[in-house]
Amino acid sequence: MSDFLRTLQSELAGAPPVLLCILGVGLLTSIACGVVGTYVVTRRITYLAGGIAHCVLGGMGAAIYCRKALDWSIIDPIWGVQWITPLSGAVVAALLAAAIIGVVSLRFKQREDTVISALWASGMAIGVLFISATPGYQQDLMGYLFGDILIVSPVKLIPIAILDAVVIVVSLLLYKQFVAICFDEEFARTRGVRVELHYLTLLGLTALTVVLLVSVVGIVMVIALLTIPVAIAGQFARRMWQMMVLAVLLSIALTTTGLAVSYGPNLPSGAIIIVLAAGLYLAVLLINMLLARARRRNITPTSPREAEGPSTRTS
Amino acid sequence: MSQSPSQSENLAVDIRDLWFSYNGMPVLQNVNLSILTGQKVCMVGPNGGGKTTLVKLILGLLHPTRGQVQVLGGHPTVERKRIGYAPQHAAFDPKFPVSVTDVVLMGRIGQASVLGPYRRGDRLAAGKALEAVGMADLARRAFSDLSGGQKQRVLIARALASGPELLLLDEPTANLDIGVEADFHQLLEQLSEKLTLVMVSHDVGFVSQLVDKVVCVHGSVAVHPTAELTGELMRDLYGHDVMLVRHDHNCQDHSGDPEPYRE
Repeated sequence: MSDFLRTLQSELAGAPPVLLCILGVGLLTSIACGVVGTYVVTRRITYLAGGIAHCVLGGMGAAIYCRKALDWSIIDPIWGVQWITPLSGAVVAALLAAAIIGVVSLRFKQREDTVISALWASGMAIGVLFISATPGYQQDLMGYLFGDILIVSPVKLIPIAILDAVVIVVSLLLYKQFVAICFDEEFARTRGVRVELHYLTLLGLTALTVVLLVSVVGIVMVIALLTIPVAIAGQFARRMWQMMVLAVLLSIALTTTGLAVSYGPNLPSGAIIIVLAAGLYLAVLLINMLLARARRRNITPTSPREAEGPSTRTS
Repeated sequence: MSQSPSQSENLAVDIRDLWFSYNGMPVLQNVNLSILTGQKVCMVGPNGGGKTTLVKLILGLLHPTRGQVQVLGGHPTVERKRIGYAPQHAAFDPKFPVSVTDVVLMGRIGQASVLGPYRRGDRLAAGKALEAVGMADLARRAFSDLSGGQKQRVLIARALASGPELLLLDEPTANLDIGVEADFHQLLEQLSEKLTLVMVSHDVGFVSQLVDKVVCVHGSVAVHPTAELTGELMRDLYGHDVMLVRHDHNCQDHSGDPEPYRE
């Protein structure tokens, strides 16, 4: 923790901003995570999000293979940008997976979970095959699966910021429609909302958010970061936007704390973030449960004696 | 109801030779049903008899296997924006984070701008709709905190928010407290003064004094005058397929009320 603060201090004083970049990524992804996570949780498509997340490995593996084994770096000079990177591969794979899963879930409702499970595993299998076929990249596999935010550099910040902006702007512009569809899809349809189109858009946003989160916590733990802050927020929020704001704030707090804790002893930051999130969720659930029990105990012993008095409880 | 000369223009709902099957199982067979503009109609029938299916066909959420449905003079998928629809409240996620106003505003989504938030006009319309159902003072409450009857009222307000010509209510009386039923009866009576009202109910006793026509849905359709709306006939009706019973307003005190009002 003190290492973390010392490094932070020196970077604020003018040292190269490595840790600041990492914190920046955590902050940016937290916003998309809280907003889209709220839709995912209320629309109950966390399983779809999990499927999309695991397909991402296929895209990352394919990108690495194309770049290193096939040497497809020839197109890089266009605009001076590296086009084939694990991030771009992840974006393509996630959007493709979202499209397939979306169509399957709209057309073949009954077999939805089976198809998603099949995609989930095949996406990973394809990724593992590509990576094993690319000499010298096996150690990167761990980073993709379990997250390695500490390798983020200022160059990587730009595409992440762009993705993040796209997700946030679209999510907020279509807020009305998304809330209406999450609450009551059939009614939204009678009001002229193009439900399928919006559903696929929502899955596309989920896919991009998943890609953003992969750089923070890794493929395996994406669903946790997408859902736990929202689940905690759901214990307090009474409206959708409150849930989003609270989930964003929680997500920022959890990623920052997780990074601070893992920085000095060099622990895996993704795992620390998830353990912190799960611990907080458990604590909130327990406290709420105890509070509810205490409230009930306050009511029960007094009510029989005060039965003749005017009842204050109306339900 | 008097037969007007230009009857086809006065039809709010016109269903002809309609057949509907779900996964090869026939649900509705040879249904013919016409509802005049301004009429108050109730659909009754046993569970699985096809009431909700008929509602969804009218809304264009389902499409007939054979035959056709005309609503407000056009195809349901085109004209359904002129229909206010309130489903059963029990179908919702009880912990969904929305306020009462949020729910009613959803009724404005067809009229509101496509991008960005709801505007002032939408909020005004939502406020009026809440007033119409007597829920204006609960506008800021969480939807999940309401009782069943209150939720039902909010869903009706949501249906009213778009200014519909036809109001379609699916089981508005399900799970109502007994004390609330009379209020609810009054509310529906007020609303139906300006609108064509079609509702689904399993509680014939509740609606028989309110509506012009009782449609019994159990596969297909037949017509009966309301004078025959006795307990015996009801049993008969439920055994038969779909039937139409006409009500002439004068039979509030007839002795054969099929389901006497619960005390």
